[in-house]
Amino acid sequence: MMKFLKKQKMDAIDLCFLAGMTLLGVIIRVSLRKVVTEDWVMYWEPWLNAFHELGGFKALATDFYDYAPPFMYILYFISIIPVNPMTAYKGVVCTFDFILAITAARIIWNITGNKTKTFGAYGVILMIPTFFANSALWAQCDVIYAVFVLLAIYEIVKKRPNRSMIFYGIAFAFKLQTLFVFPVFLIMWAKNKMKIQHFLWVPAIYLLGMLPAWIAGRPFMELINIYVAQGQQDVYALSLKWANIYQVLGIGTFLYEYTEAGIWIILSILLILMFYMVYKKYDITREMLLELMVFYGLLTIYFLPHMHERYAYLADVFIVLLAFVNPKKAYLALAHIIVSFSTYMMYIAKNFTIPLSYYAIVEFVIIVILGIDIYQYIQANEKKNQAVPKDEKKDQPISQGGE
Amino acid sequence: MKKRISRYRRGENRMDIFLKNLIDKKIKLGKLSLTFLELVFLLVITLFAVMLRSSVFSVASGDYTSYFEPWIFQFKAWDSLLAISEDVSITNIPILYILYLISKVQGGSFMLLLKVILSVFDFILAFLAGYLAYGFTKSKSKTILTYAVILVLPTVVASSAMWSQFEVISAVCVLLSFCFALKDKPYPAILFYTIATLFLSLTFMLLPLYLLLWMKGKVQIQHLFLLPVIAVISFIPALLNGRSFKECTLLYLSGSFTDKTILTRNWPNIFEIIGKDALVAELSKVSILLLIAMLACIFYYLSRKKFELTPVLMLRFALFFSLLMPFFLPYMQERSGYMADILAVIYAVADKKKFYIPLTHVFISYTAYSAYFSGETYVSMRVLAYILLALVVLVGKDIFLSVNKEK
Repeated sequence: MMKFLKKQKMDAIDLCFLAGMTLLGVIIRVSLRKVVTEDWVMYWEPWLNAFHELGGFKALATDFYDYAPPFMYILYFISIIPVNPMTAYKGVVCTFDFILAITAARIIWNITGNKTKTFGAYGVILMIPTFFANSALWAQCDVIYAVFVLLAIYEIVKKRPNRSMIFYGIAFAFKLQTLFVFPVFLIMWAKNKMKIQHFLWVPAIYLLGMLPAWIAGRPFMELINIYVAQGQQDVYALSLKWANIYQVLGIGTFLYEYTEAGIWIILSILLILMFYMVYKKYDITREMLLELMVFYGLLTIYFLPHMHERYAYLADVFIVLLAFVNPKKAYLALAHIIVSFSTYMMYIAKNFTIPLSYYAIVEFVIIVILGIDIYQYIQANEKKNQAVPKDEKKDQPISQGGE
Repeated sequence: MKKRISRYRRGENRMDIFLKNLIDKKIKLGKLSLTFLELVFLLVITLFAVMLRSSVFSVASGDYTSYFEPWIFQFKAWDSLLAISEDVSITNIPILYILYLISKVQGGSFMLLLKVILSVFDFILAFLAGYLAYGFTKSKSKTILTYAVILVLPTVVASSAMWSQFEVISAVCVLLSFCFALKDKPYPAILFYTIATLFLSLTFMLLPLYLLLWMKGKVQIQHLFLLPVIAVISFIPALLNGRSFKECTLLYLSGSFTDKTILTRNWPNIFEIIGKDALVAELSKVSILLLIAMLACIFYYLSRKKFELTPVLMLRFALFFSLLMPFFLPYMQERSGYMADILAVIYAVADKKKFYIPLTHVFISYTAYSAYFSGETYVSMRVLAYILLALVVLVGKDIFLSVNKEK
């Protein structure tokens, strides 16, 4: 990082901006650290107590938790340090917030080579309400897997697909929601950006992540099925405050039938899109990579049942990055973040301003706009025999990696 | 060893090369040539479509439990088509024939059997849509994608697999009619259109299209006489089993529109904007007269224009009428947009700039379905009505531009 700073010949304004945004990011998070949410009271606090009551690490042998083991290792670490648990927990996830911001900045630097945009991305990511609300206010941990997904994309941008899938595997070991953007990695393979064996990292790291918990005594099959068990929870409504199609159709109508149908619908939609994107011959630029991440991140949660408001986290990250790479799309980021944060506040503050069904229409429009853009890109790129469009001179196609 | 290392360093990988070659491998199925990717896609999407339908088969809709099921049991009790003489059915006569045939099946669930039959028609519909798409685009990928999209279109799935409704049979016949009309074969075109109207009276909304075909010389007046002839022939089993001719005719012309207390039942049309509860009898007559006047103006204008009725223009007209008519006709139900959903998808395939039409219309259409299923709406029907009006205007504008371009 120091090399980077020296190389960029940063001036006082740059340093002040970075320092100022960092300070503001810390202050905002510190100001929210004492908020106690339902999730803390119902889940994290009892789980932390369970470590004390059930013999420390050996507690992982029991079934008091339904999150993936790597997250539990972090909780175990928090349980043994002599710091207020909630402060320690929020401190850990907020640290990841800063890692997220730095990684985002590195991606922007690699794509644009623009210092202002790079530092701007760092500062803005720190200030996005969904991010600091997720960690400092809500005591959630979505930032952890998002960091690793972001690192995976960073490695693709750097043409290191092997490392990319290692990071993606780590992300998957933390959270099942990582699968929302899995189609993008399949497209990367279809476009020769990675090899089939790279995908083996995903199950390998998942199994590796389970190992300590298995050694502690939790049955292997229970650990394997943790994500399956997660999918069977919170099924009392078709949408858990995410602004998706079920807010328009009714979150309680045909609960059982729409749950199954919704999965088949999104699988069909993904199949149709994947068929089209693999069928056509074109190359993918780094901007298009970001756009695909946003598109699939929003599309999957739009049709999947039982989506929580926090499940748009990945889309939140990548849509902001997209806005920095292509400022013409900044309005999409603005609209989406407003929707995303509004859904957060509906849960946290029980604050209902506009019916979620209208937010769902906004999200639908965003998805359509992105879809059109991707379609036009594929058509234009295919017709021009993969020549680089004039206004994308800086953003070259991602060539095949060396690993 | 050196060779292996150099291959690795160049990025080549046997498994990747094998898989990528497999994807592009051509497979001949008779005259048809598909790549492995296309074949796998078709098989998997068909499987997904089956699973999607089976996930909602268990839904017993109000229409099934209140109407179809009692009628099936009535037929079973009578064990003959004579039950048709009973004044228990308020639906199109051919539907009763199908229900009668279902009642003859021993064992199993009647609802499941009905839904399976209707779902089979879904696949035929998807195939025909793909066939039409190929006719318009000559593109294999667009043909395949059209098939896939129609198969998983929410309104198509819900209408047959959830609701046990017969729109799909009518839609299949309309597409067949369209295919024959495009091939300049008026007799089969009118035959299938007539069958479509027999299953769903709302299909009369496409009658202006056939008047246009007549105006353009693609259909002669004698072809149009097939309509009443085929209709009367279809009444014969019912007539022989005691149903009166008057009833058969009334059911054919008006279908199952029995609820005349409200000007629109969940379809977001003009009555959502001006009010659907007041002056029901008066406004229903006025709206029909207004619609006739609109059609008269349209046809007067078209008669003064010299233009060629190209396949795409014909499709545009079909879509326009399927949007316009339910918008102004009274007593429209939630499923009134079914035909427009299908035509909009094919239209967007033929003219990709019009992608927004099926996206918007299917969204509105399924919201209307949900209004029926859940008994309430989460998006204002008035807002949807305005959006639908915009679609009518946009498609109308496209026709206007096409007709004027075709000088």
